[in-house]
Amino acid sequence: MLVPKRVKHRKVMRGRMKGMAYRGSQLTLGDYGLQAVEPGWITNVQIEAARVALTRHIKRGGKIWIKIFPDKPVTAKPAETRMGSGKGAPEYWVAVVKPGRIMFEITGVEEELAREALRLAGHKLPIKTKFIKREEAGGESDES
Amino acid sequence: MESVLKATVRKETGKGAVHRLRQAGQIPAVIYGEGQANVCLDAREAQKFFNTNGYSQLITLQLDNEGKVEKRPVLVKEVQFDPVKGNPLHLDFLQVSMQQKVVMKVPVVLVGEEKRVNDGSVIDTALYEVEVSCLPADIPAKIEVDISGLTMGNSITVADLQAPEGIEFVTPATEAVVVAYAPRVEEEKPAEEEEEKATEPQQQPEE
Repeated sequence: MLVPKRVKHRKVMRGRMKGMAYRGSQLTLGDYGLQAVEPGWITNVQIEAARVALTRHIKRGGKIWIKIFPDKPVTAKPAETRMGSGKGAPEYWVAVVKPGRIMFEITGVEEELAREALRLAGHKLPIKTKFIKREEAGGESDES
Repeated sequence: MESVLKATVRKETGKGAVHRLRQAGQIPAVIYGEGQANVCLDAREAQKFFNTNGYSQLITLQLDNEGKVEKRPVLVKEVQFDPVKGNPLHLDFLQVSMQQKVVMKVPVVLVGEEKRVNDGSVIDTALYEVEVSCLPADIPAKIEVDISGLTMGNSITVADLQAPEGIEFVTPATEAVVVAYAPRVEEEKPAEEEEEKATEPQQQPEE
């Protein structure tokens, strides 16, 4: 499971997810990718589930890149606790994803296989996603 | 073949003005280098043009300046895309002199895949574009890489590519373009290990 090795602060504020992901919105390493269409927090468990879905469907061959990292701690208070007494304990880790962000990339497989593998991986995530592929003539296509 | 793209000089600049232009089906663009101008393109026409020609070719920009039409040789220096829709939001054109060499990124296209003996390796394109230096008129549409002789564990570097006449590669010669590596075998961690991890989700990193 993806977890930071060390952090500067154990607890952080929630923050806002305004705007779009201008960085990390182009395919860089692979030929096919899974792009976020809406903003959200992706937990390390969800990233792992998506990765397992991808590798199981591809079986052998191909190469996969995970382009997001869960570096934000999320805290929660124990059940049936009275409010107050400070912020809860860190529970899990999330990656903040904005629309346009490419979360997974694949290469070395046929388009149909990549499309199906990324569709299955997308179902493990709490946001709407779309399939994206590299075009030879110019830029990326925005097929869904 | 000469690629001609129509553009119109625009007077308005700034965030609000370009937003209105985009809503009216135009793409704002700017020309710099040998000549300067703020221009706009018809979005549909431009998209069609770039889908067929790509972004790495010499373009003759047919510029309409209040009725006066002039032609300018330009290269696409930068394109800003909408992160979700993928359509171009803004273009930077570099007006070039036809006598001066330019450095340009040209897409790499793999050929000879069908002739290649299938040894079970996975072909990974490490470099999708190579930088070339040449006169604007000589810019190739693509650089073809023959992978018919590529075997597992080997790679094709920039030094192995055939440069068309009048073209020099700027990308370092040692850089790998295509790599053939052994396929990944699905590795599954033992179930016990998975369970162990699941029971301690609060494992904290060092502060």
